Amino acid sequence: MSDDAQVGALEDADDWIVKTGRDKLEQGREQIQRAEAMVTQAGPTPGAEAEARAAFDLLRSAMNWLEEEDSALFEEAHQALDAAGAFTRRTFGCWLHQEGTSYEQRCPVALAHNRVGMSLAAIIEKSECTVCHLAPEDCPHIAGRIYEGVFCARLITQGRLLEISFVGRPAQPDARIERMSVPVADLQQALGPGWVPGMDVSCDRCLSPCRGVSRPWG
Amino acid sequence: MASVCAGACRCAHPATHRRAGPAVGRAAAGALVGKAAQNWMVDTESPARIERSSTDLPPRVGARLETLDAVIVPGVPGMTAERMGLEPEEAVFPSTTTDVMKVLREQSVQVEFEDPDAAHPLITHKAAEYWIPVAIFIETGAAHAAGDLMARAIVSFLGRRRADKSLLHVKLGRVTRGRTKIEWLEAHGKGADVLKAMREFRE
Repeated sequence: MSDDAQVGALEDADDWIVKTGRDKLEQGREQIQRAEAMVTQAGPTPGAEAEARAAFDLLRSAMNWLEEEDSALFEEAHQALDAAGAFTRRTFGCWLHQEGTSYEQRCPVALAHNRVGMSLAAIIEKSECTVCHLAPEDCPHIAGRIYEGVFCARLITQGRLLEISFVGRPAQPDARIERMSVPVADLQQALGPGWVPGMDVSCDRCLSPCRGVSRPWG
Repeated sequence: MASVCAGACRCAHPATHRRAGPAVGRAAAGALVGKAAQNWMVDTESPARIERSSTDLPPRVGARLETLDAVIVPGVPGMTAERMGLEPEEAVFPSTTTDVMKVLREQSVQVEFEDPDAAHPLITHKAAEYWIPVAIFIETGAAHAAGDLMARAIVSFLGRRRADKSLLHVKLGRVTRGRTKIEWLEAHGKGADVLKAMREFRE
């Protein structure tokens, strides 16, 4: 490999992915700690709730970045997310998203336990280097390497989408399912005849011990 | 508000009761999250699929290899146009092509597209798998073994850890100077196995 400072080191790239995940984990922990402190000081205010729920996205993203990169840190992020979910549920309450008589699970805590992502197949008609913004064939940078702190990737600016697939480990770690419908029939079965479509549905998922993540593709 | 939660938690925190309604726990909402469509199986456990074959050397490729160490030809290892959702005559290259060519050049391999004047559309695919461009090397000695050169390029491109544990899809040709056949190695599977097969791809 060249000694040129512009040419990144490969191991840096692997480190960069783990570092991104670790940073998100730390930010998520700090976020939930801020929420807990706000609750201690002023009770369960809307501001504290917003802080707590913002931690979900960070901790979910930490899991996404750390998956298959650092299993110990992945598990730390998983446990931190479960703890954040339990705190938020106990303190503020949680409900399934509802539109009329339709229900969806949109909670990052619940969705993070489904280790499924999405990857696209596309013809790349135009792309640019994230380091120098030139067409990749015209620049010296190599995707996956770090150049003076900038991760080199290919930004697709024009393409033809062929398909989107569900995959176990997407190339873009945060390409994940953002909402899942919850069939009314399933709710009816779980909640009994006292419940009718249109009523709010409280989600108690995070009050039970975690049963681990689901990996449909192992 | 002094009531108990209607849900399984039976908690007494007033904040949880600002909206009335029954609770749904893992039995419903949690379990539902586990449901997902499965349309792309990533198999990291099975042994790599490794095939060898030979074809005639097209004169055009032979002419290009008079002045180059390697040429990149259209195609995506293991993929057909139909499977990729393309027209049968549509020529595409894996999205790794530009970078793999750069890495080969870092290793002093003179590599170009077989047809430098044609368009070279790239196709990006699914997941943390890597499709490597189809390359044909001219071999002039053990130091220039096609499999070694490309294996080294893949490791340089992906890093050792990622190269070993990822799924790789490779199709590699070699031509011995003065001969009219291309010897092919096609390998799909766990990176460590594919790289080993590439390094063993010698006469």
